[in-house]
Amino acid sequence: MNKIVNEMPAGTVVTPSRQLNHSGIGAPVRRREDPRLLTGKGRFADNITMTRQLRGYVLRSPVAHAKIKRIDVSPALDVPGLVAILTGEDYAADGWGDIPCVSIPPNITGGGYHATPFPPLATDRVLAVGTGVAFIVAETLAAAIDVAERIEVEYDELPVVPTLEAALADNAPLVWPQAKGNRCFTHELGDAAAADAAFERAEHVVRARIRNQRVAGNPMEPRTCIGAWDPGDMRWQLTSSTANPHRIRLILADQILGVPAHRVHVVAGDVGGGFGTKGGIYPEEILVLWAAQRTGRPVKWVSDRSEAFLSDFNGRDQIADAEFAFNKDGTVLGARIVVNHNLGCQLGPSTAHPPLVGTRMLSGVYAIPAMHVTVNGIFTNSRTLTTYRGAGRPEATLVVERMMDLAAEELGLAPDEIRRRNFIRPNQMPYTTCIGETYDCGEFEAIMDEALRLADWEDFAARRADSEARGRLRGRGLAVYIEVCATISERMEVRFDSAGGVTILAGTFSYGQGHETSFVQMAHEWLGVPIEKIRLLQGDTDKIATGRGSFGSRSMTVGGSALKQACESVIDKGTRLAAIMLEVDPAEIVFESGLYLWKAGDQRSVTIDEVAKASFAWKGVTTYASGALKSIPADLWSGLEGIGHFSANPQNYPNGCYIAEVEVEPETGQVHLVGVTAVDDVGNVVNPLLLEGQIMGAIAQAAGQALKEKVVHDETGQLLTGAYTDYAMPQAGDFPRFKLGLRSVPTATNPLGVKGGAEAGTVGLPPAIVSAVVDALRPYGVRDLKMPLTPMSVWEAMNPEGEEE
Amino acid sequence: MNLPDFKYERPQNLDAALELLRGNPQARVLAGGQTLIPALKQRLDRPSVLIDLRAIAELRGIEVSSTHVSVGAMTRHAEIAAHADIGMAIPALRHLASGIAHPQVRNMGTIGGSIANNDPAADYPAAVVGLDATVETTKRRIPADAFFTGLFETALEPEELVLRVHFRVPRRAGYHKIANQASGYVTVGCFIAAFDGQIRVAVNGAGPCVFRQADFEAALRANWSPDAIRDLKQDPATMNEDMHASKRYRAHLVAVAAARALNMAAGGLEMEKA
Repeated sequence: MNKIVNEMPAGTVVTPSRQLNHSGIGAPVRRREDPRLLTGKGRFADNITMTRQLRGYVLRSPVAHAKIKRIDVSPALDVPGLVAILTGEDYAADGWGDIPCVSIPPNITGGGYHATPFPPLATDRVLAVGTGVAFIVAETLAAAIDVAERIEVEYDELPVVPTLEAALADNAPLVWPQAKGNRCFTHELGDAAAADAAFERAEHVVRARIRNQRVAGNPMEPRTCIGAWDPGDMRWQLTSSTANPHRIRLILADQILGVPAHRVHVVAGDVGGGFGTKGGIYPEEILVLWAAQRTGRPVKWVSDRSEAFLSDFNGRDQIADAEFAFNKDGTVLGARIVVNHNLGCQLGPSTAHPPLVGTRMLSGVYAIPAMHVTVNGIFTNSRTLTTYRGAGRPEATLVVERMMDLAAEELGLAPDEIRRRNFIRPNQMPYTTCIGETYDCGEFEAIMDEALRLADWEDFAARRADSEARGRLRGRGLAVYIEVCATISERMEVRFDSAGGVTILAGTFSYGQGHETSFVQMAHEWLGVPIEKIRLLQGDTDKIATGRGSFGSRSMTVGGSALKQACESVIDKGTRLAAIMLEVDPAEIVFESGLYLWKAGDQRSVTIDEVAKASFAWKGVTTYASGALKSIPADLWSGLEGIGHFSANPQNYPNGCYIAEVEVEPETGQVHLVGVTAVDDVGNVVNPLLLEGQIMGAIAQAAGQALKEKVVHDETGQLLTGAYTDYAMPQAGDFPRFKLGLRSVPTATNPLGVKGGAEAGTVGLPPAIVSAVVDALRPYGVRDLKMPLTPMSVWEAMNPEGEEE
Repeated sequence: MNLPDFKYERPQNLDAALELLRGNPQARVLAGGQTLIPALKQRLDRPSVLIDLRAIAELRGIEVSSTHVSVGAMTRHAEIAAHADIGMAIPALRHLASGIAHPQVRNMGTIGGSIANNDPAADYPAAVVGLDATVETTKRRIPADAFFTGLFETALEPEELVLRVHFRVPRRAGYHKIANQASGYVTVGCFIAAFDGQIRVAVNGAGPCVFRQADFEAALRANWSPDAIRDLKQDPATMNEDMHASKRYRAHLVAVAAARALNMAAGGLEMEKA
């Protein structure tokens, strides 16, 4: 077996975007997909128009919780261009299935949780503003909207619990009558008795309620899908902006339709972002297929931005009541944490993932001897929860890191000092936390020291004095994070074609991550084939046998490792064919840089290009010395190809340190992010340019959550942040130049030594920003602040009501 | 496009536009479309006919004299933001125009459209009131203090169009807005202008309609200095309130915006008695 070696010594500090003169692993190869995407040559779902295509439009509930008394379509029936008005009753009558929840493993909650029916159109009850009540199919979108305006729906309104706070209140109205206390499930981690014992001997206890607000995913491309039905083949075809075509096929075939998966064809072309929110199945993806079959014509549905705010599943939304027990010297003894996570009104495929995965990380980077964690999934009259970049790990990190800073403040310790006293040390690795997570490696103190150095932590006083001279408050905050990345299995296939071209058939799915660059440069390095001759194929379930898509920072770990195995398989097969061509013993052939070389002999060689072409030869191959025409063994005579598999078991644990510096305008409460330093350990780096992009993007989203973003409902459940006029997004002008560093400790849990790198910033930065603003506001006696740190909220913290300004 | 059905007209001169408007209350005039088109897309309005004013030359043009800056109703924000003579005559007006929304909006939106719509969170009403402008319409000349009458309300009658806005050139002027983080609209803004014998302080964003802050004006008339308004307070009771800014916060910001506008009006030079 040829082994591909790609290792970097532990503790290597790598500067992102270092200049390298090659284009293999580690090189900052520019994104090969960008010329296409930036010049309007991408192929997004909305770029596709099918012959005889109709437009679909979802009539949505304007109220948050109500019984549907009556749907009267008769006033709309004479609108020109109307083709069909479909309701939830029609859907049920056709026998199609509900959207499943596949994120509550039975062993986690002891099988006990409240399941929710989730048909793509409501039948008897609407549970949140924006719930679909009818699907209108018409010749044009304008006609469909005309129809929607004329349909009369009579609602019998019910009491509303729009937020987590409302749902947890005593005697709160119930979203699902059988789910008492609006609770879907309860899950516990750790040892309650051990945690209680720790608190009994504690010298100091810190308590806080940490709120992590609800945010919207806001991918640049709103969701779009086209359904088609082929009555000849009896197959459905879904073209979608999904981030996970194979998962959608699985859900459609197994759970919605109950048919063999080969009767469902899912295609995703270019997809403009998703951040986790496009990875499950959505009602509209089912509706277009159903309507296409009913009408016999393709049906397209396109979300506009306002509709995305109403209908996309949301992220975060958690209240954690935490208490941490310490010795006076700052040594943590134990923690008790009760987490309530807002699941929204119904369970979608990934709804339980953030609360269940996030809480596993509540021990952070610290050696906490005893913990007890309770996590409750809570229903509210709001949109379904799903994974959003970080998916539970940002929530956990906010809790641990804010608790450390609150403790530091109360115990009179510096924020770096309290962390030093509690870090899990390298010589303790592998380390199993008291809530059951086993970290394989990590050098937390060293990574914090590197970040402190890069951020000029020591010289802060001078910068603060400069800010004060300009009338601004200055603060700094740091957070050390750890997250868990890469899940389940992946399959990658590598195929040579008859002209020496290479196609990677990826089970992963890139919707902005740049796999056309990173995976191609890896195959280039391993196979020695020029980058220009390698193509990445993804996103078509008829062409890719199976796959798991991209989420949870998994693709490089599982996809990359599987790709490596596929390349090794190709090289091994090629060695057998090369041996025939070179007329030498295969054991004596060495593969180097695309060349099969008889190194032990007379250095005769054949390129992998020649070997691949030979595998397609019409009549056998001509040998090196004798020139004889030799036949090829059957398994090597239908093309050179290989398949690789990898499963992330165990997973890996990226970690790092983020430092934020802020200036606050005391008159307005406006926070200016003036410094961001990030030092990440994401293991080995395949493409530092792409990694840098991932880290920067995650920093931007983290700052968005810390400072600006929040999904807001009023007390009746109306969505107040239904457009960008009210939902504040981070913008380029909000950011300083980032100081980025890497300090890699490669993991041995995968053959590449890589760890996830796509979510780091969203996990590590928010607590650093919160702590920085709290630090700036220290003269005002501010102890804690809730995200987002909007100007008004900061100003109000400085000027509490009732006090003279 | 999901617009409702309507007729579209693009008259070539003012008379033709007025003719189309006459006796047609369901007609809407289209200036830059930055408010109207989104409203139509959301089906908040169903005009019978959309009268596009963009081809009418009489509604365009900028004239700058020693006493006045006169701007045609269909002048786009970007034109004012880029106009060197306006920059010389009333730098604060050019500054205001250059800070409206973002380039796409500035390249489409017009001053006439903005003041006729009278969104409380729009920028121009503060300049019109602060600079004691006169709004010339197809029927009459309306002083700024009489033009803006309430939330999205103006003195304009049906079938009356804004022709030009005549701004008085002040001795000094400054404008500062504290913008909504999401939309960039004005949370609270303040336009301060000093004329011979008159100080005008116009506050936008804060209340349902742009208003003159009489206490601030009186204080600055007595003492053209930041000290004069440092301890003055805006009454929160009349303020707008939304999830981004409470009445109390907005009232506080009125003083902040005024101080910053005054600082700009002073232009970094030593303050002098106006």
